[in-house]
Amino acid sequence: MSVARVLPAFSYGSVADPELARARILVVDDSEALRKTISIYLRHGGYRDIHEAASGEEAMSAADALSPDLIITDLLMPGMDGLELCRRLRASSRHANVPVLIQTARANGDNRGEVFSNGATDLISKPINAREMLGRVRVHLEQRALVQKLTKYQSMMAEDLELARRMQESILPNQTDIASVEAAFPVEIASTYRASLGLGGDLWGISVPGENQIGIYLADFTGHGVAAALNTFRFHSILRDQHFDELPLAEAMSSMNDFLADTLPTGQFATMLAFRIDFEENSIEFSSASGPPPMLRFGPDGDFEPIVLAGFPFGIMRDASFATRKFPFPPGSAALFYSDALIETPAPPYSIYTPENLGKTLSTAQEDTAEALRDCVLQGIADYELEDDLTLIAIRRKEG
Amino acid sequence: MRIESRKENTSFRVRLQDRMTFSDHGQFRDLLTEITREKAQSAVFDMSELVSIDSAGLGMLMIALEESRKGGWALSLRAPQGHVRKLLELACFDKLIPILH
Repeated sequence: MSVARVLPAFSYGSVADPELARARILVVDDSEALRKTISIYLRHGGYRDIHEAASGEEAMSAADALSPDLIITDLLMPGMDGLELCRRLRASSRHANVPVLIQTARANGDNRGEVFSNGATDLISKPINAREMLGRVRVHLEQRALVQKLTKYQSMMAEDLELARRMQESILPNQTDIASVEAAFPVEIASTYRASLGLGGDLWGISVPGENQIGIYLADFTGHGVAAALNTFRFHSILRDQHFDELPLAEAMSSMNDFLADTLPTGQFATMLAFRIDFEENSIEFSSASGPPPMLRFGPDGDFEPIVLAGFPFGIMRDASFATRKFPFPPGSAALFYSDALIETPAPPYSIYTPENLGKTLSTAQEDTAEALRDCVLQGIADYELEDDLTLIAIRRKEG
Repeated sequence: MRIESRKENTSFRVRLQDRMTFSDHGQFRDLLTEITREKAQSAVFDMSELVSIDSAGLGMLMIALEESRKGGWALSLRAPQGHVRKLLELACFDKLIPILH
């Protein structure tokens, strides 16, 4: 068939998108006449970067040398045919995703399925219709461009999130912070922090508010992900600005609440548990802004009990007041503080743990250390993927 | 969560079933807008068939409270059970929103 005969008199209309016109296209056919025909159609369609290969083998090395954005190949060729070319392209890591359009005769119905199962992206009917071919080329180039854009965006986001995750981890107490508190006070602390979506809405911290005191807080912002994580950063800095450690606990809670009530939009809030352990007074004082009931054990013997203390979550109502409770915390006492993911896994009412049954699990700890207390609780939910962020802090007051 | 609602005169009866979580945000917001648009005077959210609520669910109730104040209708909750009831009490929501048992 001669080129002059198949070229229609009208223009095909150039590709509008200059990005698309720059696409590199490889045309593979053992017939030089057909290669030229297809190339001319493509040029008429506005494409400028067109390359040709006369066999499957030549196409493979051209693909490696040129990294084309799209390949149009004949099905039947001496040596490596179109199907084999397709399989090899798909097997290579570099060309696994390049669109491959295979020319087949319309009559050849049975082969069509085989063409797709060998990795072809689409078919072009022979004899070639210029408009159909340009239409298919354009669709697949657009799709490829979109996928590349999304992939790039996704990897950029993943890098960003990873960076943010590390920043967030850096505001949590690290091993050195914990070790220095353990060195200064007769106490053991073991913690776990697991963000469900890379970034989390949980935050906890440890401080030394007085000569004989340590303070521990655990906050949990609504939701998880980026917005919740940004709130944890804000919380971390205002805790200091509001002089949380310097105020009596009830007052400190109110001032945090007022600040968040003024800044958080409706529907967003934080729960918080705050504790102060006094080693001279042998006491633990705590307050709760809707935090899940902490588990306390008074002295070395006896059972862990959930301590329920109701309180408004932070941020929903200005001027809310917060109750505090104080318990004896003699040597040998222990406590477990946790975010609600612990009692909402897999999901209420089928949760593994409830405040009522946690005590039983805690009594099975291998030994009476903070680490063993934490680990025996974690073991029970090890097989579950968490839907929310989990923070777990086990504390034991050492004897002597 | 499945939401069923019907209007009786000037009052909305809303049945909430299953779990109230973050993913219900959209449909819940739409419902609140509808209650205000229909010029209802009150809305009762029946929670007796709700098995769980997460913190985002509590947030949605706060949004409902705000919407009811803006829209001039009275919000109440009915018969929360088990986990849902405990969580509402822990968060003092029973002091903010009337709960009918």
